[in-house]
Amino acid sequence: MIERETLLKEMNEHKRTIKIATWKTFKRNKISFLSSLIILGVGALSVLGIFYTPYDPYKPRFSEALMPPSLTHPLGTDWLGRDILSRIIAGGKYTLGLAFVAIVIGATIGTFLGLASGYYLGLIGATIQRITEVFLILPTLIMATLFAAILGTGLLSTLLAVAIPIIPVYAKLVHSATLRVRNEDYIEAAKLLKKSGPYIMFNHILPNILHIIIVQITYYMGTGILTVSALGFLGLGVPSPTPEWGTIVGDAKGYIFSYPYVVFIPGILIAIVVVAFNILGDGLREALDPKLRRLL
Amino acid sequence: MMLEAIINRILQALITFVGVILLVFFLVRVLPGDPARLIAGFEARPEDVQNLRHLLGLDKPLYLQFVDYMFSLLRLDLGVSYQKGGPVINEILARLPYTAELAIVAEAIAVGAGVLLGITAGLKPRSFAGYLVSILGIIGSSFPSFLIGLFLMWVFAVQLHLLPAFGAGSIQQLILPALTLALLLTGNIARLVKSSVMESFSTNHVTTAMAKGLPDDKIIFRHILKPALSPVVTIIGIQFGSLMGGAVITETIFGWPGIGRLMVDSIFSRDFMLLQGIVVVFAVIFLVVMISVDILQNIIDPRCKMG
Repeated sequence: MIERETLLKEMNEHKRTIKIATWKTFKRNKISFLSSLIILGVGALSVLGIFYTPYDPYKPRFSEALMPPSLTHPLGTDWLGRDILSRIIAGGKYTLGLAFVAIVIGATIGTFLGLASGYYLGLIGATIQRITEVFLILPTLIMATLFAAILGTGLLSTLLAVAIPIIPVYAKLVHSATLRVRNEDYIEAAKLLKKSGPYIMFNHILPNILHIIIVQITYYMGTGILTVSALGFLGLGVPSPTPEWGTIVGDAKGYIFSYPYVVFIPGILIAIVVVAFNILGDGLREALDPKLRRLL
Repeated sequence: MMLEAIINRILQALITFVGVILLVFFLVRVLPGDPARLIAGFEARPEDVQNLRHLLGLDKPLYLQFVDYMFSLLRLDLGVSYQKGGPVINEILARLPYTAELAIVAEAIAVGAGVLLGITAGLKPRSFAGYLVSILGIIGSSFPSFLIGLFLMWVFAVQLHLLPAFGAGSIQQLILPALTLALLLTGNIARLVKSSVMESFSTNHVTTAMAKGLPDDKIIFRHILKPALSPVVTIIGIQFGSLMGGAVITETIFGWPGIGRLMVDSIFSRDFMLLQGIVVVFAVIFLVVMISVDILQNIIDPRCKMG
């Protein structure tokens, strides 16, 4: 009995060490720590944008059109006299929010499919694999454009146009991750205990590949933001006058000759956020992967 | 053995291709609106629309329409454009050379610059080239392609008046769109070449060659550069998707009349026969590139066996 207790205590101790090491590894990586602060900051501003913006992001004020950055308008105004800072704050919930919800939906469905196809190798697995391959043939942006064309412009169709092409990507990723762990001893043990397939998938396989899924979600947040804004830029995403960041750039591109900041401010902001997500992804991968984590 | 593997790979690709057509065909059929009405125009009499529907085979059951479409694909017939009235294949063939020109020039710039930078950075990782590789990598993976395109346009066309901002036909007009696309690809190629150069340094045969007193340039050329180049073929295949996606955006920015822009135009004019044709052509190009990359890889590096 005493042995069992010591063992349990040691296991808990080990779990705690891993948690601390994960956090320490992540914190030591200064750039990825900074990236997470940038993401938190921009995210907080976008949430703020739901309740408050300095000026009305939609109402034109022609007397104040195309003003360069100043004290009253820190980022200037656009050709309709709308405050660019207010439009960017109000637009965050579209660009970041849509990308986030789309990636989470796509990743969740893809993870289910990948788990199932990796665990049940037979007919179910093969069918899922073939369908996945068909969807993977076309590049994400072409696929998203096709869905945007079919679903029309708007919030829900942009959401689906970004989410659907992500499903096969995750299905493939989780499928190969599942293949790597499905023959481990603990899976065999669970099978001997006559646990059901879904039980094993969610209680034994999923926790062991979760770190891969989380790291990839961070990377795909970047891709999702790029796709949402690319669709908006092309006029196939969130329609103007909604201040989705890509839509703002698409609407403003005619002003590049005389008022380039109207175009570049939202564009650069997109770039900064995507860079931050990619660096955060690298940092998380290092911190969550037991092989890359430097145990202290 | 080799031939058998290639045939196998092509058969596999054909099955995937039929799947893609099936997907696109049914997706486009889900669309609201009556194609016959769109082609005939809104003033047309109901009998005429009915006739046209019969003529186009739109009154047949869906699966028969699909079989018809597959057979017409074999004759390279992609249907009739709703908007222009002519065969879709002609519309696409008129635009395809522009996209091909843009893509090939961009890929050439990216491979040339990427390999050179990658080797320089691999030999001296802490040099300027080393940091440039990291920066280009970040730009390629994280910057929206429209930002890169508009920035280049602003610098070279608006500020410096060196190059035209729009249009196609001359070499000057090709430079900016090609550079935009190349910037999306260069960083990744350079990063890969850099890391394989650095990896080769630590292999046993390079240490042996150094110990034997082989001249530096011989070691660099034979044992470091040659193995560093074979992954370039792989990355060209992997990047091909972003090249096509990037082409859609770049062609829209610079008014380049390729199929990427034709695709966006076809959506705005609700010409779904044309859209379907373009997606099918994109899928064919993609599959051909993928198979070629597999075969090339097999020739360059016999260790990669085709599965």
